Amino acid sequence: MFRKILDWLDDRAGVRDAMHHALDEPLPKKIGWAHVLGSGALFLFIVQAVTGVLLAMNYNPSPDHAYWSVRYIMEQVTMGAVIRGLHHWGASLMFIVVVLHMIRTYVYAAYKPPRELTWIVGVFLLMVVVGFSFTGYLLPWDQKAYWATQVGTEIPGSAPVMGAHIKKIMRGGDELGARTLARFFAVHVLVLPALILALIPLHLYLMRRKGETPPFTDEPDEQVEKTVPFYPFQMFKDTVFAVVLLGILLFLTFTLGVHLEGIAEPASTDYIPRPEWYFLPIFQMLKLSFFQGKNEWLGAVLVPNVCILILLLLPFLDRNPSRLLRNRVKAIAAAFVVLLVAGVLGGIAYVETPQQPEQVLLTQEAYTGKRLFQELKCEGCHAFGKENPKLGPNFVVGKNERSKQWLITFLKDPRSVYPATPMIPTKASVDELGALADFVSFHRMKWNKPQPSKVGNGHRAVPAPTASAPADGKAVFDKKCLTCHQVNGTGGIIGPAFVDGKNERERDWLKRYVQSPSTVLPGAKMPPAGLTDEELEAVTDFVMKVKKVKVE
Amino acid sequence: LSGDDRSEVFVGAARLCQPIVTQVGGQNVKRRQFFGFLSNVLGAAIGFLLTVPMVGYVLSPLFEKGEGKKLIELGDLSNVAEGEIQQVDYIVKRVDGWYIEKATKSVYVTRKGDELIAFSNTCTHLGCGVNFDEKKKQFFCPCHGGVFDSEGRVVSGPPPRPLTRLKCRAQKGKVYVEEA
Repeated sequence: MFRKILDWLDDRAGVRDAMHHALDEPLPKKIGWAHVLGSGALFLFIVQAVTGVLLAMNYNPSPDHAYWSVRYIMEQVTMGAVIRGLHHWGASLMFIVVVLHMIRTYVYAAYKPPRELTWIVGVFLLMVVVGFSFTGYLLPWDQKAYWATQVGTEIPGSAPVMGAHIKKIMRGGDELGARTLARFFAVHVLVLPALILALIPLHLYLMRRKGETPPFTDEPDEQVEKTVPFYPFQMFKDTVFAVVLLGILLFLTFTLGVHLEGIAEPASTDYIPRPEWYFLPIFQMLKLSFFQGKNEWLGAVLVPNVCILILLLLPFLDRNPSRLLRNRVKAIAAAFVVLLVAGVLGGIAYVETPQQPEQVLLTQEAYTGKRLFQELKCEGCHAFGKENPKLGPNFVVGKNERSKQWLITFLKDPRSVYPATPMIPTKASVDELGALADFVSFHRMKWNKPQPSKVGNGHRAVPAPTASAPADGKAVFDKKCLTCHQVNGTGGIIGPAFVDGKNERERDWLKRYVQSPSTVLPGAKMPPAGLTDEELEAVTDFVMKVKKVKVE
Repeated sequence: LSGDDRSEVFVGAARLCQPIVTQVGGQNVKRRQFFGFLSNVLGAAIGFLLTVPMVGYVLSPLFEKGEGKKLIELGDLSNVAEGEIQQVDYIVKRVDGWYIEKATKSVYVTRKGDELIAFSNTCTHLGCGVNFDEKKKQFFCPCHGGVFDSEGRVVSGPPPRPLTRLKCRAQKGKVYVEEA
């Protein structure tokens, strides 16, 4: 039965001939373990293709959903973290294997006639691999993705004349955003796969057409003894290497896991952007003083492009016909220097990479809460981590001890829980309060020790108090009131703003109001300032000399 | 498979994996067979290691736990008139994988004496949304012409079952219906 099907296939499609042609190719002697790298790259490509298709099933290339779809893959899809792990580490391993494959080809002088074209197609494959990784790591839309691409698209922007246009084309607009993500996704899953699927067969065809390079001999190809067939001897070595590669991938996936940082936040200022490790040599090169300022485009654009050009033209630049190492001392030394420089630059960059500040992996709801936290100006009274404390407690990363329901109740009407709290009610819908509570749940409250007399805590630029008596009032105001009130354009925007002028209120009214706002004006949002008598007198004097203004 | 068939499969598979060699020396054959066998075993191992997570990933939706159906408040009971079928739209939060949305859903509500009835608007044939025709007092499915009467019974067309009745109840003058 089986034989009949096989016979039929053989007759119609020449299956046996094809198998024979594919597998029984006789190989020159000394072909062996050094030659598993090409098939290793092919194996990794298959892993990338298969895992990539699976990832695309649960991915959404838009700034508001990309990150959460990747989180969904990592946290909820069965084996999702494993599939993403294979894809993530596969990209790095692919880079290593491809470079080793190139080094091996270089050392064996396999780029020389008659195999120039195989080499050139190989260089194009290298560019496609670099393109894959460059477009790929934007897709998770986390901090690393966003900032590395921000820098990565800025780099060609430094080129003279065309730079600004190239940058705009890459981003799909002036800024990194929805259009950038969509086009990177299209290139990553449509353009580059099409290219690589055309180039791989071409590379293999060219390799088979002229045969494997006989290692370390200057004998004409025809005279080199061909001892073993590809199958099963070389095939066995290739398979063992594939097992090793898969082992490494699974090991990395299960021990180190896959990195996913917090969602991309264009406003963040404490994030330290670094590209993927294989771009670190270029990154570090740009830090050299020679490449700074006017010369930046030389390092960022010219050097990489010249390198690619040299690689493409290598078979024609290197006219030395010998494949023997002892006749190629200069060529080998040149390559060694290039690799050494790249290695040292990359190494320095790696060692010098500072530790990232602590990130909280918020849930989607909690992230909505974070956005509300900013919109509702909660930051006016609450600082994060070890930042200088403001009126309310600092938010420190950690699990909040309160239940979500408690937090909602408190946020909605703080004084119903703690009658004396200075916190004001949060104006938000039920859903929004839930999201805010989710955000708060990721933080512990850290109460600040009172900070006596330390005016101007360094966080805000506070003018030094002058010697005259009313300056005390200004100092007190800066310390206690500036968080919410602007004076002449400096300060918070929760309460009314002031400019120099005559206050419309009576002094006595102001004094009573500052001391206890809600007794004087029921429903006032301003919390009691908690001042000593002396401070109260001084600050009242100061407020007498400013008047309320409307600020847009 | 019978014994003969099975051996034929094996022979065929061996042929596929081990193409005819043109030059075969005596000892060479054993070495070839050995390495061929090892290559195939390792290849199968790779295939297995990759296939397990892949299959798990693709089948992932099957392993999901469904959430219990919530009761939705639809509004005042006084709005539901005796014997009249009323379409009520409501908005419900829906978590669809990574996508959290406020989905709009629809339900038909009516009252028969004290009994509150809620019909799902989904046709029992192939899931299209049914319309209620006020004049004819019938539900019509726009897809394959299914017709239900005002009690939800099939009048004509392909639907195999009457319209689904959703759990509902009246409490403190409000109408509550199970999420469709």
